[in-house]
Amino acid sequence: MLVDDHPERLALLDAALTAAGHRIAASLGTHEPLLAAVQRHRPDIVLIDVDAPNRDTLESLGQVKRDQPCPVVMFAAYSDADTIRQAIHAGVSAYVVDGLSANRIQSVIDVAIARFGEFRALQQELDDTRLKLADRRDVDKAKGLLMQRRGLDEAAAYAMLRRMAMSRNLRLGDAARALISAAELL
Amino acid sequence: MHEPELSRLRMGLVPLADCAPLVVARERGFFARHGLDVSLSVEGSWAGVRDKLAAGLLDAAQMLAPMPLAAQLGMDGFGVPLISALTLSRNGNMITVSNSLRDALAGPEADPTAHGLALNALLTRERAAGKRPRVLAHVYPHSSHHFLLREWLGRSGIDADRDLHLLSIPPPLLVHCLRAGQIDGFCAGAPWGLAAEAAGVGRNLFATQKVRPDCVEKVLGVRAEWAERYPQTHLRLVAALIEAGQWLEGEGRREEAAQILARGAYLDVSPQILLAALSDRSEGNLNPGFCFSGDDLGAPRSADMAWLEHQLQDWGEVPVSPSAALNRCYRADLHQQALAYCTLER
Repeated sequence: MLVDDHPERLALLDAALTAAGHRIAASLGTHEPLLAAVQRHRPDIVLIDVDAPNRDTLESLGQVKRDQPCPVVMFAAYSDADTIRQAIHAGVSAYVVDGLSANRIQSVIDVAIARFGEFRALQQELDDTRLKLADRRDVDKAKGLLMQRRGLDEAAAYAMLRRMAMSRNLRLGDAARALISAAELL
Repeated sequence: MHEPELSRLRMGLVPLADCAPLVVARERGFFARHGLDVSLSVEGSWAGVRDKLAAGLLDAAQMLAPMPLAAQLGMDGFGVPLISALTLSRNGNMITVSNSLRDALAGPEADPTAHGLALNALLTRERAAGKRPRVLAHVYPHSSHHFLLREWLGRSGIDADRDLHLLSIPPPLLVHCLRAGQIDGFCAGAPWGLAAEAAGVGRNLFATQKVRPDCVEKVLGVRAEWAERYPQTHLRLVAALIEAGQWLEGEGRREEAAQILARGAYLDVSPQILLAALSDRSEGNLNPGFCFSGDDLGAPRSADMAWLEHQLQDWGEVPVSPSAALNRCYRADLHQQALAYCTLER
């Protein structure tokens, strides 16, 4: 069972786990009733976003074993500290039922770590692209300001902005934004 | 005086009124005064706090008081030893029930004994009528909320495992779950009981300081290995938070803290509710009664530890006698050191 609010990541994970021969009993968002889903689907393992708020509900399930085998946080059943650390760093946590073999846990966790890592790289790339676009826009705006206020041509304005960034140890985009916000105050 | 080994720290907290010492320490410059640049990370769940602290994604965190002990005992599923040299807050929890359950309990306002007996009678009637057991929520298995709820139910003659379903739900989701009828009531930290009442979905029965006064609530948690590796940093962190707690007990400071919390948007509730939670002005048995400082209130106390130990043994499966673990994880010695440091630095 998968619990995550990112549809793209859910899709990546679902495809990879299915390809590795596992069956996905259910996929849900972090605000859907988790308890009912666990009781209905009885998953062997629940993969869940580390930041999902409803994780604490899974924590209390493991305390009450009266009804049926309940998934408990994987660290209890499984002691490879490195894998656990990698999983948390990648942003995924897992709850497993008692008696699930270490091999199967390892196989599912490996897939999850890889896909969460892949998703993070994609996000990073997207953020970088957005940042580059924002930088280009702000650098143009800052150049315009310098040209207008200091009577410089474009090349001289760009050279001035670069010197400013280098002397203050700023990225060019950040220097441009500092200049724009200063101009707004004047 | 040595420099701190680390100056930039990442610290976790959960959105509750009693995250105030951390936010105040940052916003009023207590961390900075001790050479620390602390970024605060708002976490969605206590399990997330535990995982990130254990995996090293956080340097320190606001934690529920029983969490370091559960970690020392390997009961939290992780088993990375945690320690605490500071009690960040005492009291602050409330038992809140749905409007219909409140009506069914009838009886006087804010009286734990009367409410407990009325609940017992109601549950007995409902069980005889073959109704589905009621569901009460707390916030985490290893929490004072869970223990206080069990203590109140136990004193009222209710068997929490037979007569009811208990489960954990993270604080920010409680109001939603109460509204949706998934739970009949909860024991949670302020301001969530007040928020449920303000939203018209529940009523507050009483503050848990009526069950156990001055109950240890949140503690500062760090990995034992981290505290050993960075002793100067840890000392300063404890000192800065002691000072923030003292600041919070000054005249008019709770109001100021409520404004700081509201401004930083740490919690998704209105500033009025935050003010009501922190200002301590509400009537007797409904007053959360937060304490952030005063005499030995910030130190890990043996009475608290004995209570936590008793509670864990009472319902949990404690693998070994916890007494040795208690001394390893609640470090009064390090607290004394930080107090001495505060005195020297003043």
